[in-house]
Amino acid sequence: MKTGALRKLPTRPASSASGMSQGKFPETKGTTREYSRFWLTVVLLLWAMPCPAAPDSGQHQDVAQLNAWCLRCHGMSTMQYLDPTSGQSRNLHVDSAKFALSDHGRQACVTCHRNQLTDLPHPPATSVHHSCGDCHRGEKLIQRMRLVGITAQFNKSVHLQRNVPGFDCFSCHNPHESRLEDIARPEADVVQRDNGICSKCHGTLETNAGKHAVIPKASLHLKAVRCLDCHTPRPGSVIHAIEPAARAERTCEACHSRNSILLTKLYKYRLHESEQRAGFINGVVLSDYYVIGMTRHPFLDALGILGMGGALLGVLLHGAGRWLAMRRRTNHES
Amino acid sequence: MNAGDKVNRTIKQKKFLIGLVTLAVVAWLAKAWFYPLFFEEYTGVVNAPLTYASSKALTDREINNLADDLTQSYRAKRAREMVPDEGNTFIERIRRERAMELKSVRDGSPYPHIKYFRQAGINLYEGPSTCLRCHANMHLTNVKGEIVKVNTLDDVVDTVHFRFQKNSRGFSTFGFDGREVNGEEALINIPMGKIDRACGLPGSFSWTGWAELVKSKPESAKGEVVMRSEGCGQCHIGGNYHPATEKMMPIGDVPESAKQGIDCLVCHADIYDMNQRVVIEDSHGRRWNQDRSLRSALTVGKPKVDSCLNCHQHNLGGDAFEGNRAAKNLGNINERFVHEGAKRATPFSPATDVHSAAGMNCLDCHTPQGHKIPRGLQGVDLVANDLPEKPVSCEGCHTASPHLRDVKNRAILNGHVARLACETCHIKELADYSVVLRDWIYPIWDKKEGIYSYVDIYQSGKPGKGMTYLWFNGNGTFLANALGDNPTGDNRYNPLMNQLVKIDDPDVLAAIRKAAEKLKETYPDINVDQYVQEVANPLSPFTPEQIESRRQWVEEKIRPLMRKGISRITPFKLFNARMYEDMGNQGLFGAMILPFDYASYYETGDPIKSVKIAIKSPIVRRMYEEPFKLYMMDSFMTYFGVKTWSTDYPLTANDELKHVEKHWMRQMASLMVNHGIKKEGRECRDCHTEQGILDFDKLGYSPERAKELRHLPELENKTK
Amino acid sequence: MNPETVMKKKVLLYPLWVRLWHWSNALFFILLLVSGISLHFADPHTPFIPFAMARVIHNLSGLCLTAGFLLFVVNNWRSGNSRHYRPVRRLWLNRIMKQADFYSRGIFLGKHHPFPPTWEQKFNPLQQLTYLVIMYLVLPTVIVTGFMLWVPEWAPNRILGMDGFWPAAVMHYLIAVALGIFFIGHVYLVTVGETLTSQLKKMVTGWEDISLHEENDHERR
Repeated sequence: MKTGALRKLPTRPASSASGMSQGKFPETKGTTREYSRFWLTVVLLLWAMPCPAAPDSGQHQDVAQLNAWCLRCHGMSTMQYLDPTSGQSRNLHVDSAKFALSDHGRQACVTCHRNQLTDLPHPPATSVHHSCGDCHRGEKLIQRMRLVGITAQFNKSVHLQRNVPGFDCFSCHNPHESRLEDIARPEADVVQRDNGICSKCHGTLETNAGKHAVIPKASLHLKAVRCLDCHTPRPGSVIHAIEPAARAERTCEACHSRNSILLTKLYKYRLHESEQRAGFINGVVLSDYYVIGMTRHPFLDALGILGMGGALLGVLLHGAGRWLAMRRRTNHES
Repeated sequence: MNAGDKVNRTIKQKKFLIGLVTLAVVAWLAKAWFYPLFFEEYTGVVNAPLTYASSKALTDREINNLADDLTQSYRAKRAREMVPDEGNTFIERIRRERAMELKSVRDGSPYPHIKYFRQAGINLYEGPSTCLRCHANMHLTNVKGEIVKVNTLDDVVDTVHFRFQKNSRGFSTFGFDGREVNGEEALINIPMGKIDRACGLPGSFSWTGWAELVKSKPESAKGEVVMRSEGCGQCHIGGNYHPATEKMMPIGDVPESAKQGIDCLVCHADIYDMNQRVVIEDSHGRRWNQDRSLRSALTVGKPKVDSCLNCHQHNLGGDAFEGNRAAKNLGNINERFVHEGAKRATPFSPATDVHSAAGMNCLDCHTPQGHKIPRGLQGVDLVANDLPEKPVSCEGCHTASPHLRDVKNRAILNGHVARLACETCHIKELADYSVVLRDWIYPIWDKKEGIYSYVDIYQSGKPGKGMTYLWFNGNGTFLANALGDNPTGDNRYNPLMNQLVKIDDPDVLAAIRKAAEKLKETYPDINVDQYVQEVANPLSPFTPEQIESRRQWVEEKIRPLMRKGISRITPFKLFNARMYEDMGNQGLFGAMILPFDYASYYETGDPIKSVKIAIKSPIVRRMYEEPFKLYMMDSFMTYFGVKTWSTDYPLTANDELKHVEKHWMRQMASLMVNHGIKKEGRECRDCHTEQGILDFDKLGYSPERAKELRHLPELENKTK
Repeated sequence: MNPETVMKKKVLLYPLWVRLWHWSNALFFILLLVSGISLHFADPHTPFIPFAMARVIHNLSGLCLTAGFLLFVVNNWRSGNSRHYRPVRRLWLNRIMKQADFYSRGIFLGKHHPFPPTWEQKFNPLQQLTYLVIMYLVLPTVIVTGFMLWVPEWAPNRILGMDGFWPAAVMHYLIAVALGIFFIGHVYLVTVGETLTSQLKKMVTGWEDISLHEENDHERR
């Protein structure tokens, strides 16, 4: 039924190659009729789609066209206004290229944004979903459990505990851009992106370097690890339970050791991936990063210990030999 | 033996010392005496001590009277502001007289220099030397935010307002060879600016048209000859016999006498008599007079809006603008001309500009650093910029989310900021007298002014006619064409092959035809069809092969420049002029323009004779010689897209022009428009309809996208 | 071997600056070794030296050792002490073999040192080679890599497609191991003088008995 409704949408000739980003929507002739038909379709769609499943590929083309309609305006990079209550800029821009690649890229905008879209400007809070769990619920048990875990962590986080107004999943996770694959990107990218999220509220790297003066080379550390790596309970992947500053990790050995907490946090996915590729040992060693105390190559460690031990043993034997020889010589002479 | 050694050594030391002193003396002589002599001989420029008739000493009594007069007129002005017109002059007068006696009005001291001059015993304004008695040094905040002390005179001499050229980086302009003017890849840095840039708008350049006296025969004088003033010097602060030519050379400096010709008061005096700004002639040559009266000097302070507009209203509103103060005070003797046809008619006045109406000072946006005044990061032309890194932008005040009031549309309006410059909506059109096409080849008699005048064959400030919309990334070409590209486009946008080289608007074509027919009345041998064709298609002198290679050149060298940075659709005033060009120095984008000698042009209406006189100017001759060729003309030509400068002087021994042809510039120049801002911007339907002002196809959108942009369902469903 | 034929003379073979440098170097070397081991094998449960403290010790000692090294290079060149470091190229392999032969066999048989110290050459051939490599190759490398670890901004961004930090770190570690081995050998070889402590004494007082007929002595053997 819902596909049927979508199929009725007027479509353009197949020549529109870059249709996604350029908002190819109703044909220009008889626009009034098609304009109302568009909204009829939206209403039908909303009625027919209480909760979204991943649309099949047939629907995908239609969803893209539907979204293009919204992106005509929301694709403008400066679609924003100064919010009179906060004085801050409120950005309504959705990067159409990033959205298309994101995990939600195959969802129709209207799946989440439903309230009175016919009004221009749309009333505030058009979105019906305020947490990831609002949609991600009827899935596999394991995923559900994971979400329950994340929710529990999130509820413990300092942002929730201190009732930061309006703080929700989307404060950090941009549903229009987030991609699961991003966790597999090089650490430098991951660190930059994740710390960028914190920086939005907590200030830039420069302003934060002062607060972190207790860490040697604070600005380098802030560039090399994620805020989360120290500001969440250790050890383990509990990165959603962000702790107050007072409880942050302060001991160097937490990271600079064989059992570095980074291995369960920042390097968790990288380790997993490179382990499969190159085996455990090389997985650690061949990563791009050298962390003193953490990235030890067992072979080189053994070489060091053997070398030093061997030398010690060598001189002991040599000394013993000399002592024996001397004793024999003295005996001989006497 | 030992003693002899010592004597020898002393003699040696003495000889060495004498040699050193001689060398120093010779070097000093060379620099201070021989070089300036040589320089003047070589370039034909003249320097001499400057005197001004208005620089008169006053007695104490006269000064007291003057002070009273100035204070009274200030109070009267305050009173006028306090008591609005109410239609009854008697009541207004009584109330204003009372207001002038109010303590707060009496206590107001508008001109502190009245007191300072009395304290310092100054009864004569002699020019910079008088100012420097107290202001020898000044403090300014430099780029790094440090407060530094600088020599005031040096600071002024170094400004573009005085030298009007720079040989450093900081031009937002690129040569047709793809290199930034004086940028990193430049072979050598050459002096660039208005000083050495011939331009079709004034028809001249500063050496050949600095200060000219013209014999006019205006109707009003009934056949009598009336002397008139003309030339670039009328708007520059130097009062010398020539522009600051010395500053163009790698060594040497402007002589002290020229520095004393700097007009401090034209910017700093609240009351400046523009009637004094006329050309005067003395035994050394011609130069521009100044108001150096004590009356003017007593009113000095920080520059006000009117100070800047003394000169700059000419470029903003034009002489034809009703509120142009300078154009109403043309001179006591040797009156200046009122130039018809404005460069861009965007007057800065309360009625025509929202910022002027808000009482803002020019320096609020163009925040100076000492005497250097920023122009902003963007620019299409070769006007030198004193502070190329200092922005002057709308965003500086209005933020990136400038639309606040219209709650319904603010977000979508701000959305447009990504693609549109503010001016696109907030300058709706320019005044009608904006000159678009100016023909210098067929002068006609101007009865009113009593001179032969160039002909503006088309004037318009309407979008799509005199004003057009181009993608703009803040940079321009060597011949003032906006650079920029459609960010979604696929090389469809190509103004150098399309909109800047073709006039196809039927209204404009009709107007051109009409103007040509009118010209034909004076010049019967004009072929009207050919005339229209030449204007409408400035590429017509090229062969099809040349046009094809130009097209390739644009893709290869210019396209990368167009792609730089962020481009926005920005309005530009179009301009083209027909002048004589030296075809020996011609490229695919234009040839070296030859200047006109104002006096002979205006007096005889013989453009060829006038060109001959102008290029006989010693400095133009020098440009066609070896040292100048290597020093700057070769580099100059590479920016034109031509390998080297040909020194083949376009005048033969028999006083005949050779390889000189009359041409329109090969593409129209696009001039930035940034003033004359309106509070109410354009509306959706102004662009997003079939008759919209933006030609989306020419702006490089695909036909489908262009069609979409012309049809907004939202607009078509509602009445508004 | 006739002791009576050998004339002995007491000379100041180790001037004060050499001794000062040697002992300060030894101190910083030990500090570096210990703190370095602690840093490399850091463990929150069994802290040898706490990481933060070890880091400070390692950095400061490294800086001091570098300063000492630079002073040594300058002084060595200016004072003429560098003559000991100028390799004797004549029969160098033979001479080294001879020395090695002494350590592996002669020393047990109570033979005399084949190359006792002289005014011109205080090192035996093996010693000279070792010190040459250590002082002018190994130490500079460990110093440079050390500074690269200390101020990672100085490390090249990428080396042969790897992160530039890695090779520096690995090299620093390997050289540290080599220097550790050298250290053990060095300390042991102190004991091979005439008596167990005679060499130590020389490095404290600076005086050395040298035989005046050294060359003859060699020829005779």
